[in-house]
Order: sequence, then structure tokens, then C-alpha cells
Amino acid sequence: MLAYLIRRVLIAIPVLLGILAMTFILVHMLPGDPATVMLTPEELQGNPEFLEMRRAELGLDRPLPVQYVAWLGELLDGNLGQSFHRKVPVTEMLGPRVMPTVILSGSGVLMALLFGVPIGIAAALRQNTKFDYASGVGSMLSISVPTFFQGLMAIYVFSIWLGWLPSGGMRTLGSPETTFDLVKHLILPAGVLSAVLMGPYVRYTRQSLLDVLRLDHVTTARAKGVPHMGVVVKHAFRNSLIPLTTVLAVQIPALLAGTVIIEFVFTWPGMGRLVIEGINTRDYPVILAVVMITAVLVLFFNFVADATAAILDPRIRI
Amino acid sequence: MIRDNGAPKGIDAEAIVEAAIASGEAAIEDLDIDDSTMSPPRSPFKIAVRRFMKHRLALISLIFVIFIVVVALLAPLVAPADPNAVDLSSIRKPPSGAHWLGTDSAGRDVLSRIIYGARVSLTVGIAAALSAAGLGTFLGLVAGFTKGWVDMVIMRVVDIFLSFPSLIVILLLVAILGPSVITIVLVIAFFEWPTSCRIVRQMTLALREHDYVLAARAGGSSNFRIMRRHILAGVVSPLTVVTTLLSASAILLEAALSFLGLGVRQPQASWGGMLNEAQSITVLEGMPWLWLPPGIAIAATVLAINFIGDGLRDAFDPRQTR
Amino acid sequence: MTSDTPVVDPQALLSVEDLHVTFEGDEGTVEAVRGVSWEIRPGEVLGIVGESGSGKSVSVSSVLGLLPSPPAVISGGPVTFDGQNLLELSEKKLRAVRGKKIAMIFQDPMTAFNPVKTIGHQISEAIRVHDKSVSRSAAKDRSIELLSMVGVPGPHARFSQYPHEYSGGMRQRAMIAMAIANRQRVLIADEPTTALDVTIQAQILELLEVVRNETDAAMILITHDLGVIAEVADRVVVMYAGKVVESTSVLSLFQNPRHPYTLGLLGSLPRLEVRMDTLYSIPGQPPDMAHAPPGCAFAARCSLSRGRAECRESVPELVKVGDSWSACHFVDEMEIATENVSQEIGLDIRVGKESQ
Repeated sequence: MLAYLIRRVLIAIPVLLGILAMTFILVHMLPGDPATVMLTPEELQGNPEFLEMRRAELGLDRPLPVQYVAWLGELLDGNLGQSFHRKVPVTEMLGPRVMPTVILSGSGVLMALLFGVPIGIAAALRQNTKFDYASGVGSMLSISVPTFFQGLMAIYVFSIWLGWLPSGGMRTLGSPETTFDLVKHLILPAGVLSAVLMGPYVRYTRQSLLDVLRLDHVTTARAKGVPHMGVVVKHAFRNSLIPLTTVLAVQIPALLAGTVIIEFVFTWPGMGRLVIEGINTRDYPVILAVVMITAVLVLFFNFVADATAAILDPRIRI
Repeated sequence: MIRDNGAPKGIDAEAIVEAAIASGEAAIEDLDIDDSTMSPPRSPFKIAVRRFMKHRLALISLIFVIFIVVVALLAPLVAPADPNAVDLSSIRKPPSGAHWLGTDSAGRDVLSRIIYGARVSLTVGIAAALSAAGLGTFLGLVAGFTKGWVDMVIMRVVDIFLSFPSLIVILLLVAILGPSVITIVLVIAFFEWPTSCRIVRQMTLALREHDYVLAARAGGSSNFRIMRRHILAGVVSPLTVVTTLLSASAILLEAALSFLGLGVRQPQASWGGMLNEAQSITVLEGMPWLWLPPGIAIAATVLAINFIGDGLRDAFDPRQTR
Repeated sequence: MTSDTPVVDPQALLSVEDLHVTFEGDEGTVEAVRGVSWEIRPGEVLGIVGESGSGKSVSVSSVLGLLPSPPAVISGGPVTFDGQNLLELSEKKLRAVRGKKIAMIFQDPMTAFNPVKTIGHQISEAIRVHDKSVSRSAAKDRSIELLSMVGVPGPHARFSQYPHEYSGGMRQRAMIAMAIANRQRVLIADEPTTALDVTIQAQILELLEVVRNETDAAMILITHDLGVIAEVADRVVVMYAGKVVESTSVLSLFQNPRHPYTLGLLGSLPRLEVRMDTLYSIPGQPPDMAHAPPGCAFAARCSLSRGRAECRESVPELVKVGDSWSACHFVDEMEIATENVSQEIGLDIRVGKESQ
């Protein structure tokens, strides 16, 4: 098992380098002097000799591969460049935004799983009933109606029409920072995010369970005399979860995209909004930092998915 | 095992591959004519068409999409007004006899903008899907057929692309390169090709070991001919499904881009762009005609395309799991 | 039901009478089993022989109610076991029979076991599902005992291993262990050796023999391999296109084939005694069961029929001929036909008779 995990990490390394390389290429595709992307405000405005030295350090007049290595060095130092717009280190801008995004996307995924998987299972067990068709239509709507439109409709219904929930932001201005206040603001955006994510989860869970139920070993279990529910729970459920871990992992980029849009629509102060603001202000260092972080996160979650699959499926552990 | 490939959420890559292989096998068996039976041989294509016809939802969706395409093509004839005609005297007016869906913030006729907006969405959707599928198929064939390190390199590249948060990078690229329809199409295609690449590669890998390919090789056919006839034939069905579903994704992406203000530039009408106006609470609250029509238009079109994709997948899939 | 149908032996442990199974599909209705009857007595080995698609597996699966019920439609019967009609039993009562009184051994042991559970767990499950009072450790002990009984080396360690860690032959042994866990009275082995190497096949057949003797179980052996039948079976039922075409003792089958299909099967056995340049084979393909032909299903491929109208138009019923049952209009011509085929091949295809 350990050997398997180590192998997965080793395979991930070239992909990681590739991500970094692509980001680096993007840095250089940008109009303007790359130095302005990579150096801090003090360095840029300070002593010209110091500036020259830093430029040499970054190898800006040397061949690209050298620059790449220097750039990697800066990364490891924790230097993500400085924001054009606000003239502060990018790390400073990212810091306070990370938690809100994690809270939002985390709740979104959890809710989607908590509702999606059981619905999918129920649909598979009640195949071709009204419930099954209804869940099928629901899933289709979930993936077909644009995320932002679902957000707008949610705001209209719950915020404007019914007046139950706030229409945006993470906290009520001027109010004490209670958890209750946070939850009130979180419900709508997380809810819409989960609605968007749920469609695929329901479909894949249903399909996976149906596939597993047709397998030979299920017939064997029935032939042994295992009761129907026992068959589903003991012989089908765990087997059907295995492909789902892959689905979850691969859906991460979609999750991130959804989060960006939801943060925008609900003015949620997370990394997604930061990126959009960055794009509108051409604040490349910010954009690139977010791009890179999310790509690395995706890689990380893929690894987690692999590990989970190995736990669930003994055949993979070799 | 089911594997999805990220952006187009409705795609079940591996199942499509298995289904296509199975239907290919079924096709081969179907061709084995037996004198003692009474059933006539049917080509797999005809079987698929028949099965598609049975899927009522897919059929209705197909008609709907054709309708939208026709409307888009005939926009100048169908639209009641010039979509860009600004009339500052009647801003944000509710639906009336003169303007069936009211007017927007610059006094333009909403209905006409919806009709012209279809052009943008459909163009982007179809063009991006076809380009992505084309590029993906080519690379997938290469990867599957040559195996070895070329394959490894391509697959690592695919992994890298799939790790990237495509929306953000697309936004970035469109911001840098400028928002024209062509740019958007190319950028979307640039990020959607990995899906079809994976599928085509899997099909190629599976099919090249298949008996009838081995037989063709033994018979002396050159690699290229084999690739063309047998493998392309096997790849067509999953590819059709994937391309259809890709176009749904592309339309959603374009709408998101326009909504965020980074897509097709005003004054050109685009469904996503029209929804941008709904950012303000006043519009959201009191002027449903400004944001409901474009939203519903996108949802309906994408829904229809997804149903068609589902129908196609069912049509090509001989397994009866659904 | 016709007057010539074999009468059910009251001694029979399990009997199937006039079973019909159809499948409703997209392309129409497939008649997989069209009126099949057979029975098995205590301690006996019944072989069911036929090609793929003959309905042999389907007829047996329907005994235990293992067919998915849409699309399968079961009619006819009764299927009598222990005085009850299994087709009419509730799911709950049927479950008490499955795995406890009648057990099944499946063809492909790799897919028949759940890949994410240990073999030991799955054998224990077979025990505990029928007797909840058995503790986990008691079931474990019994499972290890069973594993060693079927010849799996190192059963203690093997208990906690997964199916993919076993070899093919060992997996089949484990499956047999699972099947005999509850002292079943009837064992149904569905092509138990087909997925195995020839060398392992012999071992498994031997194991089945040992197991049968120990537990006194009756066994239904489904196969397409006549060699296996010759070694193991007491009585044989030959199926073609969803019907029984011949039913007889094993000796009789090989020495006095009473149906042209059986003749064809015997004729196509490769022989070592004589040099053969081409193998005799039955021309044509089995019929499409979605469109079953009106007359005898074998007519189009039958060397005896020679296109005669009766064969094409009416379905032959099972009739008693000597000590066999045969479904052929021209069964009295079988002796001559056997001679002809023997001459064609160059040796007497009746196994056990002197070569000419």
C-alpha cells in the first residue's frame, strides 16, 4: 500500500512541474516586463543597483530555463510577487481570502455529497419509478442551468421575494461576528453550489450502483441466501463507491469554477472574487498565484482520491 | 470504473468506451448471417437510429435545437427589431405590444437580442466543441496508436491541462487576447480537448488489440489504413456523444464569460451578457423580463443538448443498465 | 404438457416440469427456455449439456429465482423441491433454500467473488446468513476447516486474503467450499471447469467427486464439454434451443445416441485413435431465440432431417425410446444415421464400442 502511494506521488511530480512550467509560460506571455510581476514594491522602487542585482538573480536577461529555475527559487522562498493594483505582496492579499473560499467550497461539496449520494442510491434501487425519473430530471437541470443563473434565481426567491436570507457577503456589516450570522450568509451560496455539484453526483452514484448490482458477485451473494438489502449494503455499496472517488477528484476543477462564479454572484470575499477582480484590473501576479495554487490543490486532491480508492479497493494496492 | 474528465459533467468516459466496444462487437456479430434464422442483418448505425427515435425526450430536444438553429440562422428575418438599435426614450420598459419582451437599459428590444444572442451561443458552442473534439481525436489517435513515450508525454500533458482550473485561465487568456468570438472559441477548445483525447485514446488502445484489427494487419493493411477504417469507425459513436456534450459545456462557458463581463463585447447581443444586467438588485427585483428570458434560453438550449447527448449515448449502448 | 412427457419420479429430490422462461427486450421477446423438464434423485449426478444459448444456465438459475425479474418472465413449472413449488415461494422462503439446501457453484470464480472482501469473510457469510447464532469466530473456524477440506493450502492465512490473491484453481476450490458450507442436498455446478486450465479441470472434478461423497449431495452439472459428462455424470439431459432433445443415462448417451444433435456432438469430439484431417462439425448456427422457428429448432442443421416437411413444420415431442427419451420425429432412423457418420469419420463414434 505504501509503495503504491509513493508511486502515485512520484507520478505527480512531473505533473506538478508541468503546472509550474505552464504558469511560468503564462507569466511571460503577459504584456509588460516580467520583473514587475515578480519583484516586490520595495525592490522595484529602491536602490537601482539593488534592482539590477535582483534582476540578475532572476536571470531576466538570461535564457528562459535559467529564469525558470530562479523563479522556482522565489516561489520556495514564499515570494509570489506583488500585486500591481494594490502594491502589496500577493501573499498578503491571498491570506484573508483563503478561509472564506474553503468554507464555501467545503460546505458546498459536503452538502452535495450528503444529499446527492443517498438520492443516487435511492434512484438506483427504485429504478424506473417516478422518483427515479424525477431525480434524473433534477440532475439534468442541475448541470444544464448555468451556475450564475441558479444563483440569481436563488437570490430572487429567498432574498428578495421571501426575504429570509441575505443576498450577499459573508457577514452583516457592523454586526458581531457570530457563527449564526455566518451560517445565515453561507446557506444560499453554499446551497446553490451544492445544487450545481449534485447533478453529477446523483447520476454517477446511481449508475455506479446499477452497474455493480449487475455484477456476478451480486448473483453469488443472492444464491447464498443473503437478503436483498444485505446484498445492497454489504456487496454493492462499497464496490460502487470506488469509481465515485475518481469522479469526485476529477470534478475538483469544476468545483473551483463553480466557486468562482458563486463568489462573484454572492459577493463572497474569497479567492474566486479576488481572481475576477484581478482579471478586471489586469493584476497578473494575483491571477497567477491563484491559478497556481488551485492547480496544486487539484493535484493534491487527486492524490487523496487515489489513496481513498486504494483503501476501498484491495486490488489497487499492489 | 467510471471516469469523468472534468468540465463536461454529463460524460461517463469509460462507460462510453465500453459501450462503443460492445456495440462494435455486436455489429460484427450482427454481420454474421445465418441461414437458419429469420432476422435480417442490421447495420449498427440503423440500430442506433432506431433506438434514438424511441427516446422521446431526446427527439423533442432535437427538434427544439433544430428550431433554435433555424431561428438563429434566420435572425434578420425573424427578429422584430434591430438588436442594437438604441432608444433612450424607452429604457427598461416592461413587455408590451411593441416589444414583446420589453426593453433593456439602452432601450434595445429584448426579444431581438435574445434571437441574435442565439447566434453567439450556438456558434461558440458548436465551433468550440468541434475544434476541441478534432484536436482531441487527433492526439488521442496518436497516443493510442503509437504507445510508448509519445503516449506518455501526451497523457502527462492531458493531466496537466485537467489539473488547471480552466475557467480562471480561460478568463485570463480572454482578458489578454481580447474578447472576440474566435478567441473565445479557440480558448475554450484549448481547454476542452483533453476529454475527447482520453476517450479516443482508450478506444484506440482497446480496439487495436481487437481481433479484427489484428486480422487486418495480418492481411497486410498499412497502419494508416487500419487506423482510418477500423478504429475511426469504432471511435465515431463515443465521439459523437462527447462532442454533443462538449458543446453544452462550451455554451455554458461562453455564457459565464459574458456574464462576468469578459466575453463577447457589447453592444453585441449575447445571452450571458444580457444576464450581466441582473447584477443590480433593482433589475433583479422588479424587471424579470431583463434576466429571465436569457437565463431560460441558455438553460433550455443546454438542457436540450444534454438530452440529445443522453439519447445518443443510449442509442449506441447495447447494455440495458439504464 | 403432453402425454409423452416423462412422468415425475416421486423419489426425485428436485424436479422441473415444463419450465418456460422468456426475456422481454428492446428487440422483442426471447424464448430462452421453451418447456423443459428434468429431475434429479438423491446422490445422483445429472449432467445438462448444450451449446451457449441453449438455455441450460437460464433454466437452472430460474430454479433458485436468480434471474432479474424484469426482464425475465418465468411460467410453467412446477419446480418441486422438498414438497414445495419453488416458483411460488415468497422471497423469504426461497432465501431459506438458497445456499442452505440448494447451492450453486459458478463458472468464473474471479467475478463470482466480491473483490473487496476477503474469501474467508465470504465463506463465513454463507454460514452466518442462515444461522445467526453462529459467532464470527465459530464461522471463521468452520471456514478454515472447509478451505482445508477442499485442498487450499495454508487455510489460516488464506482466510484473510482477497480473491485476486488466489490462483484460478484455488478460487474455484474456495467457491466449492462456500457451496458446501451448509451441507447442501443439491449442488448446482454451472460450467465449473470452463474457466480453468485443463490440468486444473481434472483436479476440480475430482474434488467435486470427493465433496459429493462426503456430503451425499446430488449434483447438477452444466457443461458443454462431453468429456466432463463422461467422467462424472450418471444421467444426462441434452438441451438445444431452449428444449430438452434427449434425456438418458450417460452410458446410453455415448453408446446409443438417440438424437441427431447428440450424434453431432459425439461426432465432433476430436479422437486420438484415428488420424483426422478435418474435424466433423455440425453445420450452421443455433437459431435466434427471438424468432424461434416453427418446427424442430434443429431442422436446419440436422443430417437426419434432409429437409423433410415434418421437421420444419411441427415441433417433435419427447418420446420414450428404449431407456432414453428423445425429441425427434425420425428417431428410429438414428441407428443408421450413427453408422453413416461413423463411416464418414472413419471410426465408430459410439464411445465404448469396439473400433471398426
